[in-house]
Amino acid sequence: MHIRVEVLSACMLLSAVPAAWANGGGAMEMPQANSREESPQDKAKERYNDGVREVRKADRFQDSAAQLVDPAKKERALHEARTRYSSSLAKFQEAVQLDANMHEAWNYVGYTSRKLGNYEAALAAYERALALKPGYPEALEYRGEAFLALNRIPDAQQAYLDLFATNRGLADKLLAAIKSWVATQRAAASGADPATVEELDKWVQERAQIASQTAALTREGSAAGWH
Amino acid sequence: MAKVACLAWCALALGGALAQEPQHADYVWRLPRGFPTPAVPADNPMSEAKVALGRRLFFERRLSVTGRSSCASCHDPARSFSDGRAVAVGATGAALPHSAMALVNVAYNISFGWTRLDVRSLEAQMLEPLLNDHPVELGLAGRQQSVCAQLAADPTYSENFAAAFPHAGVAVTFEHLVKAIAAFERTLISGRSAFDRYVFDGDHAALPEAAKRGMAVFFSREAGCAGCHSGFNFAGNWRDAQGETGKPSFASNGTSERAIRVPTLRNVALTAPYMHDGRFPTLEAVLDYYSSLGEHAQSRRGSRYDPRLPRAALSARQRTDLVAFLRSLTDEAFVSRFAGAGSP
Ligand code: HEC
Ligand code: HEC
Repeated sequence: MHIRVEVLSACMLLSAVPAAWANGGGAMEMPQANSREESPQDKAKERYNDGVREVRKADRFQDSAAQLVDPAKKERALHEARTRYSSSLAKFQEAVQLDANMHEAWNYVGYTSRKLGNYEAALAAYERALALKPGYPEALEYRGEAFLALNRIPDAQQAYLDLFATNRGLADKLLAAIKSWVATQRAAASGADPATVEELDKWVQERAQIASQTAALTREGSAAGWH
Repeated sequence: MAKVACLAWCALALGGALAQEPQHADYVWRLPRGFPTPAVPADNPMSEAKVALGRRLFFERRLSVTGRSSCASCHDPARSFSDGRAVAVGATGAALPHSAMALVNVAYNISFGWTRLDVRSLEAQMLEPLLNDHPVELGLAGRQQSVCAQLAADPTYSENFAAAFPHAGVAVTFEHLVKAIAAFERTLISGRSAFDRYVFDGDHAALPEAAKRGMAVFFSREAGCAGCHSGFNFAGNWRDAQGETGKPSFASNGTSERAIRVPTLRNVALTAPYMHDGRFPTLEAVLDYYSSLGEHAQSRRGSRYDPRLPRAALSARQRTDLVAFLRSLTDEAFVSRFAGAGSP
């Protein structure tokens, strides 16, 4: 009961920070009720939509856990998040079984697997999504984060560059994730090789500078103007 | 703040949708990283055959009254399709009022020419060099029929036209000639400079330190360069498959009473002399000029002076660094792609 209230206020806070949410895509339109018998594709969409609802709840629990101080409450929120990531993963798995070409669902199989700590499965799912839809920015971003979790730094850097050329918003998100990877490694007693970490830190700083200098090169940046 | 949040949202919301835009028909653009898909007029779709024909016609000397000039006479690939003169000279020797513009990324232009706002397509622009007679450029006015007859009598051309316009009753027409050259011009896309390798490929050694310092100056508000030379083409607003980003970018940097279109700075090291009238022989001279504008920024306030222009003099170091940056915008592969083209 307690959690509910805190979660709600956390949600209100979070609504101002869209980047914190899952960005795999929203719900899909369903066919009219009076149309003929449901096809596997329609059923896949239904499972997918159920999964998306569930994954949003999971994200909220996870985000509120990050803000909670009391360890017991934090653990409860994390537990709720994990439960919902598992149940949404099951929905997305059903969706791709019904329709193996549904790249959005593969992307969420990746996302939820990653949230549950199963990085190899996540990578495999992103590969499927990207094979179905080359350059799919959301999958590129999620995959970049999975690479990070596996300490595959050059792959994460490449994912950043691929995103940078097509979607600056998601590229920024991945760069922030790389930056916090650096911070985590520095803090950890037995983190990655310090020289590698420092080199990556320099790289992050240079990329951040390039990104801010060249913001006016993009359509969005040029519309924002700077005078 | 609200604006920033909205931008972040839009980038997220639209990002996915943009990337899934299908390519125009079956034509495959080979675009540099970071470049949008060009807009193509519905009545002149791209095809490999049309581009190949247009490329040949671009260098075709029979397209002039004297038989000695072609588009390439004023738009030389080795100079990023400009001509090295202060002002261009037509087929019959008459001087034109302005210098020949570099043809770089013209597929993304909203308007065409240094001073014209009303010329809005490559097809429309081309009628000027082909048909103008005050002064003459190629001087084909009144000769369209006979030029087409000549080309139709040439077996390779008649084959090339038929391949490019397979559904037309008569393939070799003046309209098709214009469309083919325009299709070729849309492929003059240049975006593989050291700058691009640095920014888009993540090759952090691609730019020398001086160019990196110059880049910081270029994108600073104090120097103001990117206020006008903005966008991936350093030429202000553009048009792509998604539409136009705004009005054509015209501004005065003090070289003329009237506003002049902001030119691209890509390959600018290859296109001396500079400005619409070729008044500056070198990039150093251009930077000295911008620096003197900055030096007099105070006394110019309130006048026609564009507020984006430099707000203070540029130090000698800043000028050298800016030149290094401008040189890093040269795309060698673009130039060598056409090496030897047009020579018989
Ligand atoms: C006699 C020299 C000359 C010839 C020949 C010539 N041009 Fe040009 N071109 C110019 C000049 C000068 C300008 C700038 C016109 C102005 O705005 O005053 C120009 C501008 C252009 C532009 C506008 C570029 C921009 O960024 O707005 C295009 C496109 C172009 N020419 C294409 C062609 C084509 C295609 C041909 C052959 C059919 C051709 N030109 C032949 C001199 C020439
Ligand atoms: C107020 C808008 C504006 C600003 C700010 C501005 N420019 Fe320009 N720039 C122009 C225009 C317009 C032209 C073309 C003028 C002409 O042809 O007479 C031009 C021309 C140039 C050219 C010559 C290009 C060619 O092909 O001839 C160079 C190089 C250049 N600018 C570099 C810079 C640099 C570097 C800065 C910053 C120090 C800068 N510009 C700032 C508007 C601007």
